[in-house]
Parts: sequence; structure tokens; C-alpha cells
Amino acid sequence: MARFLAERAATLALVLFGASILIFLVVRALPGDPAIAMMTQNATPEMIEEMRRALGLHLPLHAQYLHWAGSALAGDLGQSFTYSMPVRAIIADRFPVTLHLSLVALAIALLIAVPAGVVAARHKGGMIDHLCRVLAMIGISMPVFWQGLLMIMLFAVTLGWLPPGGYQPLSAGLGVSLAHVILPALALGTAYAATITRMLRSSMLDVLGKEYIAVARAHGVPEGTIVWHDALRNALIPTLTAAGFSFGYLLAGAVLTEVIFNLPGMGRLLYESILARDYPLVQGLVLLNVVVFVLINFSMDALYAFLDPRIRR
Amino acid sequence: MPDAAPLFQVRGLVTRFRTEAGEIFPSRDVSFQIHAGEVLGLVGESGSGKSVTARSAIRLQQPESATLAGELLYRGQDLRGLDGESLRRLRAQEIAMVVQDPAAALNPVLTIGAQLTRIHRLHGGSAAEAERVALDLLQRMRIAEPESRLAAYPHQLSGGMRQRVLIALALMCRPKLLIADEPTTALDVTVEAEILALLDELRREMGMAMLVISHNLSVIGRMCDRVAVMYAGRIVEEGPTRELLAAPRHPYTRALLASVPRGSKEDGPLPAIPGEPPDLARLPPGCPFQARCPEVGPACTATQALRPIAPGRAAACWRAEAA
Amino acid sequence: MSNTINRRGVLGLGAGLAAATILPQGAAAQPRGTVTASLLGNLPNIHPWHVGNIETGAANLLAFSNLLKIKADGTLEPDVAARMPDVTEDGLNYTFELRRDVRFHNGDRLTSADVVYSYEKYLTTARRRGNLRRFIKEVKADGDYVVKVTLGEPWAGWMQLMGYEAAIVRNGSDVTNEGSTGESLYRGSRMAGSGPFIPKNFQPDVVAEFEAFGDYFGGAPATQTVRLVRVPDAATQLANLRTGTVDIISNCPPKDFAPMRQTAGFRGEARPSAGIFYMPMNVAKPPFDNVHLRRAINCAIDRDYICEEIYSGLATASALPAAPSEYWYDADMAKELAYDPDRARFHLRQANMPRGFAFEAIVPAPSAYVEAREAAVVMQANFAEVGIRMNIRQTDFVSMYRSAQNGDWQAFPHPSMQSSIEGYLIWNNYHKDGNQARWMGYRNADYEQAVMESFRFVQPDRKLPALKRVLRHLVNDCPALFIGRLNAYHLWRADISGFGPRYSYFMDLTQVRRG
Repeated sequence: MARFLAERAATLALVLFGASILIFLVVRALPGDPAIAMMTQNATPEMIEEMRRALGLHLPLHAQYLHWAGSALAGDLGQSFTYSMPVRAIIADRFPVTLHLSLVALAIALLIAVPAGVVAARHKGGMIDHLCRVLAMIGISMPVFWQGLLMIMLFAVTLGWLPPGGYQPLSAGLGVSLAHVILPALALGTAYAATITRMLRSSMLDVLGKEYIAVARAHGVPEGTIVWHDALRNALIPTLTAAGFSFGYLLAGAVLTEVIFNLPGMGRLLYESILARDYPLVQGLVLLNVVVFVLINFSMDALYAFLDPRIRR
Repeated sequence: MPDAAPLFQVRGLVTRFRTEAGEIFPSRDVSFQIHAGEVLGLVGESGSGKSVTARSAIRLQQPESATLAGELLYRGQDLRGLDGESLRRLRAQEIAMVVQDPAAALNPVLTIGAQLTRIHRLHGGSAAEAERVALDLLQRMRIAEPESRLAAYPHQLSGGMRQRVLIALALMCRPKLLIADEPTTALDVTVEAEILALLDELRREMGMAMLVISHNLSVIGRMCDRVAVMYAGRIVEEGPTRELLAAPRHPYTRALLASVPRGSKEDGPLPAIPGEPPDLARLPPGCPFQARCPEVGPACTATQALRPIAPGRAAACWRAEAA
Repeated sequence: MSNTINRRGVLGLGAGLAAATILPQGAAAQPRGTVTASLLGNLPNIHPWHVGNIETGAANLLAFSNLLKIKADGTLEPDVAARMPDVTEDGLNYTFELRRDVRFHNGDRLTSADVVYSYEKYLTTARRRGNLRRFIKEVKADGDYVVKVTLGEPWAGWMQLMGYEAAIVRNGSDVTNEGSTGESLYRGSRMAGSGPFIPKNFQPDVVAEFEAFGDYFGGAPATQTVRLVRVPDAATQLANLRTGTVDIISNCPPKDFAPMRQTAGFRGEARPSAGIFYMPMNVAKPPFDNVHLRRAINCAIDRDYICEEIYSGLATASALPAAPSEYWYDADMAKELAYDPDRARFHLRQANMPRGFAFEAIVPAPSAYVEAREAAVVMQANFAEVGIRMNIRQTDFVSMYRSAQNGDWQAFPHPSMQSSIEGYLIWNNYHKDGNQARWMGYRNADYEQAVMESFRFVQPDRKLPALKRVLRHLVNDCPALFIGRLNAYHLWRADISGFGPRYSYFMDLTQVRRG
């Protein structure tokens, strides 16, 4: 176990090093200039140059990188150009929002997808299967923002059951917090649910054709146990792995969801920091995303090992 | 004993299987019967329809296959008329199955113990009792350190061990009828002999009837009281094992016997019969073996029904009748 | 169509004035209740002069005071100044006398030293729209309550710009430092401002909460708490308004404005603003170094259709930078550039390009104000009618300005918020010293003279002759295609009063109240 962790930590360090260089260069390859973004249209070239100096953008690239990476190692991600606040403090404000949203969305996605995938596979070719497939198609192809607006119109404006947006942390009370996060999580979770449903359905179909399922049937194991226990446990292994990798898309979908539902999360922040060419903020956010992604992959590995005794050590 | 009502009787079974190439009929009017305590062998080349027939007989079909006609009488009750729950209960208590590939037949994510004990608990036994029964069976199957095996996962066992576990699994409910579908194909010769001996011993002890499916005549010869030979979805010859093997009457049975190097273990399909196995999707009218038969004659194009040719024996060939 | 717009504009103006007169002056009732307004864009700070958008403008107006402030119709009125300044005949010396009853949020009195301190800080800070530095030579105190401002060149428009961003902070307030951005931000400290509200709680981009400042020199505000919340999607803003989560919204999709303002329980108004939708052309480079092609461009566009259909009437078509309702508009000149495909073809023949030509238009996306992309598509169709091919390149504003500064552009159709059109844009874009003039490429000595002439005066009647000369040049030379003036428009719940759209587009919530 210690070796496993050490290996993972080494991988993480390597990935972060590579990613940090990549991020640094890509951000600077964007056309435009943070100094211009901050000055708006009425600035003279002299003012812009002055601003570039203030931001340290006149230094050669490698010097800028070393400065940034050095501070980042010490835990300092620099100062946001737009907010004039430490990037770390901004992220500390915004990350919990996105995390909260993503986890609720993930829970919703699993709550929808697991039964739907299992039932669709069990009744392959039947009405329920077709219904699931149609709903999954809708879930995947319906734009998140459109779905979000429809839900706001229905649940907030017409019915008045839920607030039309905004964020309340758990500390504001579970009910209040959930009421604010449930609609965006639904909007975000349904597309994800559709993906998982499709993966689980095909994986279940595969497992249900296995000999051990026939053997269990031959021995009179109840169908419910066979489907929900014997088959599902096997089918979940590839599904969860794939779902873990596509969790990244969930974070990507969070950009639109956070805009529509007015959640001050990282997705929206990243989008706006790119428009503003806020280099330190973009770098910090992307770097954090990389860390999250790598950590998700690690936990997927761990989960995989937990679920599948064949690769357990 | 032959006069008593059979334990399990299959009459006129017709099954259909959908493949990408089209529909095929793995069982074409198949009939056989097994008495309590009796062992019936079902022999034939790969693809002759043995497995599908046997599984259809206990309604254990894949979604692609369907039973179109026939009666499946277990203790006189037609299995086709049972609802899912009654069928399940019957399987849990009286019918069991051992399959060919033990690696695929055990659920990879459940421990051996979990898979064994739950069969016993289906009848309402306690966990402790189920474990005791499982341990006992594993011991009977000559598995060393049965306690630690209970906690093991299938991938941690050898092939022979897995097959023993699979047999133990089938015997957990002390079935009256055991379907053994190629039970030793995946094993090497010494393990095979050992397993067959064990199976035979336990069968006698429990008074089980068995349907043994194999392409291996030596396995059939060792285990079975009676044997039915299948070719292209039909039973072409049937009779007591000793008589049938000594004096085969159907040209196919003869060809099958001739292809076996006696006394040695046979792996894979039989290559020695001249000609290609028939394409089940495109069978000619009349005897399905006519294309490969050395004794083919004009009457072969007419349908050859299985008919009695001697006491306890039947064959589906006009030449067998004449002889 | 333009009638409708005019009426709408007049209504808005009327409401604004009415609200202003109804409100009590001096300490009357206790401030009560909470009013919440939603904002579309970034709200990264509450800063005395870092006002980059409507959002920061709204926060700035609540917390800070200026020498003068801009009324709903765009004209100036005294704020901490006791009255409008005395201006010498040459337009170079301004004398402001300050009110003596102005207090900062911490209770300190505001004096000329604070004004001088603020202007000095402001003028030495890099990060601002900053043209005051070019014109203002000196700001000095004359006693405790008189401030004298000396300009290097005449420019009456400086007060308009100052009205947005040169807010006054208490002498010694730490509003700048030499950190990475050259500035630190004011975050809820009670010492800096003297506006009617005190910042109480601020989460960047999420919410800014202000509480009433009882000792405000204009009288205690009617409302106890004003909240600015950020809702970054226009359609969601509307949903928030309908559910009552917010009382006032800064934007809604243009097509939703008319139906919504007629809905019971809601109100909405629109009025002309200092915003403009226009397409500057790069006069220094082909194809637009040819004046005939620029004229062809001007005659090929159906401005009425774009303003009415794409902006749902929330832009007012005009071929001139002046809106039809403004004093310096000239209908005869506008006619010369009116939509007329035959005339466009005539100009193409003059340019020896009877079959038309192609150019690239950089269209900004996303655009916070109006549907620039949809408008560009309509323009494309208009141009195609006379054989002109407009290729659209979409990019964001930052990339656009980079291209512009490199001279790597041909045309840039976009909506733009200005502090003033006649007081700023005409100089900034086309006077040789203007900041954007370098990349616009237009040079005309008589035009520059006319602009500077108009800058000498505050009074419209005295500015008018020079402005007509300015217009004459713009119509003759067509350095830009003027499409229309943007309207400021807002929607709010019917139980809110003391609020309306403003010429400046910024939301002024200082007098807002429930009931």
C-alpha cells in the first residue's frame, strides 16, 4: 500500500510539472494581452506598456515561469489581475461550490443511471429499454443551458417551489442548501446520467450473457439477486471506471450550469478569467483541475481494486 | 425400473436460435427420457445442438433462443407450464447444472463461500449450517484446506479446483437431476479421471439422475447407463451404452466411434469424420448425415424418424432398420 | 419606429425626473427595507475609480461621491460641489466650491484636501480609462472648500468622464499600492467614501451589500440595505425578477423587454444612452482607404431593420453619432447616408468596383450589451444585396484590441459604452491625440480643430456650430458606419420606485425605495 501511494505521488508530481509548463504556455498563447483586458479600449500603448510592467509581463517567459512555479511550490499561486486578491483565496471561495454541485450531480446521475441501465438491459428490446434509450438520447443531446432555463421557468417561476439560482453553503442549513443546488445538479446530472446509463446497459447486457449468470439461474438463485447483485456488481466495474474518467466532462458542463444558475463556482470563474486573460487565475484554476482529475483517476483505480477482487493486491 | 414413470421426459422438443447468419434449429424434434438414478449420455460433435437441447430442456435459455414445441415433463409436470417462481424453486431444490468452463461459471466478484452457501440458504438454512454443508462438500470433493477456500475468489483457484467447486455448487441442494454439460472438457486427463470418479461416487450416494453431455465417447462410456447420439439437432441413435458402443447401428455413430483413438483423451472436435459438419442454417431434406455418409442411398432423402430397432434401442436410419 | 423609441426615451426621462423630485431631501424617515438588484457582468471590486463596467459603476455610485454627478438624461449636476463650476472663457480654468456638510462614512468632514488627494492618486494610477491625465494640468486647493482645476487644453467632457470614475476618497485612504496590479481594492473599509451607502459585505462576483449612511449629505437614503447580486445570464436574470429574488435587473434579452414591461406587477423603461452600435473602418488600409467604399458601406445598411428586429427597438437607428433626439443631430446630413442600395451601388461605381468587394469584420463574442453577432449577420445580408461580401471573424474583445493595435483589422462592428459621444468619442476615435485614433487611421486637421472648438464649451448652443462641422466631416469621410444608439433599459418589480434607466447606462440605486 505504501508503495502504491508512493508511485501515485510520483506520478502526480510528474503530471503536475508537465501540466504546469503546458498551462503556462497555452495561457500565454491566447491572443490578446491581460494589460489590454484590464485597461479597456481607451488606453494608450504607453499605458498598456506601463501595466505590462506592473504585471511582470515584460520579463522573458522562462523567468515568468520560474517565478510562478517557484511561488506555486510554496503554495502561493500569485495574485489575480482582475480581483487583486491571492488566487489561492479566490479558489478557496469557489472550489467548494463546484465540488458541492458536482457531487450532488454525481449522486443524482447514479440514482438515475443505475436503475435505468439495469432495467433497460434486463428488458432489452422492450418498451422500457426503448424509453430509456430515448430519454438517454434527450439527456445527452439537450443543451445544459436550455434544460437549465426550462427547469428554472418551471420550478422557480411557474411553480415557485425552488429558488431560481444562487448558492447557499451547507452551513446555511441542509434544506436551504439543497434547494439551491438541486436544480443545477439535475441539469448537470442528467446528461451524465444518460452517459452512465448507456455504459451500464451495454455492460449489463454483456454480464447477463455470462455463464455464471446461467449457472446461478440453474441453481435457482432468485432473478432479483442475479440482476441486482451478481450481474450489477460485475457490470459496475467497467462502468464506474468509464464514469470516473467522464467526471471531467461534468466539471466542463459546470461552466454553463454555473452561469445559468448563478453559482459562483470554478467553471464560471475559469471562463471569465480566460476572457480577462487573468493569467495567474487561469493557471491556478487549470492546475487545480489537473490535480482533481489525477485524484479522480487514483480513486477510480482504488475503487476498481475494491470492486474487482482479480486485481486486488 | 424401466417400467416406472421416468423422472424427466422430453418429448418432441424443437428449439430455434437466432444468429447473425439466420435462424437455426439446434433441437429438431428431440425426445429422450431419464429415470431416477439413471445416467443418460448425450453425445455428438460440437455444434450438433447438445448443449442448447439440454439447457432448453430445463428452460435455461439465452435470449436468442426459443422453444417452439415439445413437452418437458419433470415428474410428469410440464416445465413449460410453470411460472418463473415455481421453476426457480424447482431448480433450487431438485435440478442442478455443471458446465464446461469453470472459469466462466463462477462469479468472479463473489467468494467461493458466498456462492456456495447462498444455494443452501435458498431453502431457508441458517448461515452456519450452510457453511457446514459447504465445508463438507468441499471435503468430499477432496479440496485441501476447505476453510480457507471459502474466503477465496475464483481466480485464486486452479482449473481443477474450480471444477470441483462448481460440482460442489451443483450438489449443494442435493439435486435429483444433474445436467453435466461437458463437465471435464477443460481439465487434463488425470484430473478428469479423478473428477469423473468423484461425480460417480456422489451420484450413487445421493441417488441422482444425470444427463451427461459430451463429445467424448470415453467419458460417456465410463459414466452413462444409456446414450443418445445427436447429429444436426436430431437424435440419430439411442440405446444402452455398452450395446450401442459395441454395435453401433447408425452410420454416424459408427463414424464417431471410428474416429476415437481408444483409451486416450480426446481434445477438441473430432476431425476424423470425413466431410464438413453440416451448416445448421441450410440442411438438406431427409437425413442430415447424407452428405458425409459412406453408405448413402436413395432412401436417405426421405425424413428418417427415430424408430425402434431392437429392445431398448432405436436409430434414425433405414439401413439400421434393415440390418 | 423612431417615434416609438423617442416616446420611450421621453417616458424614461420623465420618470427619472419625477422620481428625483418626489424624494425627500434632508433627514426625514428612517431608512427601511432591502432592495436587491442583479447585475450581469463582473463585479470584482468596489473601487472609487476602477469602474470598468455597469456593475462596478453601480457599486461606485452607491459608495462614493464626485464633484459633479451625471443625471439620468446625461447632463451634469452638483454633487459634493455646492454648484456648477465657474469656467473661464478660454475653457481652461474650473473653480469648484464644495459643500460644507459632506461627511465621510467614518464621520470626517470632506474638504478640498480630500479632493486634491483623490485627483492626485487618480491621475498617477495606471489602471483606468484615463484621459484626464492628458488634459488636467493641475488640481489645487484654495482654502478648505475651494478646488481649482487647470486644463492644458480645453475639454468640457472631462467632467462627464470624472462623473463616472474619479470618485473622491478621504485624504490618506490606501487605494493604491505597488502590488502586482498597481492597486489594492477598497473592501468595505468605512473610511474611504462619502456616498449614500456604506459597503457592508462584499464577495467578489457574488454579492455586494450596502447599508444606508444616515449622515449622507443629501439626506439619509430611503432604503436601509441595497444588495447587488451577480446573475451572469440575461435570461436567468429575468427568472430571478419574476420570482422576486431580485427587484431590479440590469439586462434581459431584448426580445423579452417589451412583453415583460407590460406584465402586471413589473415595470420597465428604456431611454437613449451613451452607448453606440457602430462599425469603425480601418481608414489606413485597403479596402477602406477608399472613401467611396466607405460611403457605399454607409448606404448599404438598413439601420431601422437592425435596431427594430435585432435589438427589438432597444437601439435607435441613426446614421450619425448623434441620436435623433439629441440637439446636435442633423436630419439632412443623416439623409445623405440613409439606407439606399442604389446609392451604395453608385458609390461602388465611383470606386471603380461596380461588382463589389470583400472585407473582414471582427465581431466580438460574447457581448454583454446587445446581440452583435445577429446584427452582423443582417449586415452581411444587406451588404450582399449590393455585392459587398462581409466575412465575419468572431473573437473576444481582448483579442480584437490586440489586432486593432497591430493595425491588423478592416472593420469592427460592435456595441460600445461611452462616457459621452459628443464629449468624448469624437475626440478619442478621430482626433490625432485620441487613444483609439492611432488605430482608426483617420487624420483631418479641420476635424480636429472643430472637435477642440466644441470642447471649449459646456452649453449646448455654444457647442453646436463646432459639432455640426464635426458631423459634416464624419458624413463626408465616413470613417465609421454609425448604425444606432443603444438604449439603456431595465426592468423592475412594480413596488420599486426611485429608479430608472440612465444616459450613462449605469444603475443608480442611490434613491431606490420600496413602495
